[in-house]
Amino acid sequence: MNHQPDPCERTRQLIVELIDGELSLTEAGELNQLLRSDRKHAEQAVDQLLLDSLLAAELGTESLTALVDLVSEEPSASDATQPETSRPVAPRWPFNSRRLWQSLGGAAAVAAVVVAFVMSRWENSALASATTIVQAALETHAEPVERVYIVQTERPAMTEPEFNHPRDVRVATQGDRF
Amino acid sequence: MSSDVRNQVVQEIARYQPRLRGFVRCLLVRSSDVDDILQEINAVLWEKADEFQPGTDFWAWASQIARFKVLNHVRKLGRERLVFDDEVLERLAEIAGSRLEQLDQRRTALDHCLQQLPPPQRQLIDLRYTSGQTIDFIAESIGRPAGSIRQTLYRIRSALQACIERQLAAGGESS
Repeated sequence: MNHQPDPCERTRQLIVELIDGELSLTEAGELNQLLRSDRKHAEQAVDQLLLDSLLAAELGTESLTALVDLVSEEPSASDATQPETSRPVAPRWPFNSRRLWQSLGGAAAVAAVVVAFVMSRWENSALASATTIVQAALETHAEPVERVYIVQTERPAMTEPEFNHPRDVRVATQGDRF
Repeated sequence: MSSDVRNQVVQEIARYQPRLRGFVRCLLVRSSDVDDILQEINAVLWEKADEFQPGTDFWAWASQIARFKVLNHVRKLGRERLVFDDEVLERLAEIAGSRLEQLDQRRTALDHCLQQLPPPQRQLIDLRYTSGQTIDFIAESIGRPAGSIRQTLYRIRSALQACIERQLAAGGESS
């Protein structure tokens, strides 16, 4: 007896394989057909992929090339509940850290930003706006040099309490990647 | 372009990173390629910053650029291997755009649902996502078959998905 797998279940399985990086060429074609055949399969796929993306964003690693070390002067309550030694050091792309992109989101409220570029064997410090930092990063990332940025932020007195997040952020880049 | 507009674009790019990332991922981009594409999208958004009209919908503008970038990426891959066609990707983009309108609520729901996981399940999720370990590595480390780990992760993600939907349906109230 020939059992045809349920298309919904099959779509789910194939998306799991896609998430796990194990989708074969033949399976990719099969998944394409399933997604094309029924909108609810596509909705199911989006839900699974969105959850995977959220888990990666919330819990840690999305890029092995990303390396950001958040140094918080005032650890949050949830951080404090974990022993220092048990806390995983997860490489992160800077915008993925909720704390960091909140800080970037509040860039306009930042009174002063000091950027220290450590490139190879020399070190330089500069005062810059958030805009200048991004512009400088885009330009310098074109060069295949490993570098580390140390970004220190100072908040104005009127900053809202919820923007009480790390003041020192280290961003390591390799080549043109964070 | 004035520095005010530049500052605004920087803020918007930062604010929309999670949504852009989710959008790219939902278009069947391999996780290992998501960062590269996101970097390209960010660079294009910055380069085209002077085209952005302050006061208009940043997400509408950014998601168009993101969609274009992903389609280009997929077409490039298409020369090497069979991948997903434009019709499917357009459908996924439309659905993803709709789902991502609730991203903040989904994230809050996920935080809640993660706290409800039994410790062994939470540890497995942490191994996979926090430590970024491969399924094979996890399987070897804890002496279980990779297929078993894959199935368990699948069940955990399904449970999380169901929990998130319940949370959203309940309006985000803790249950």
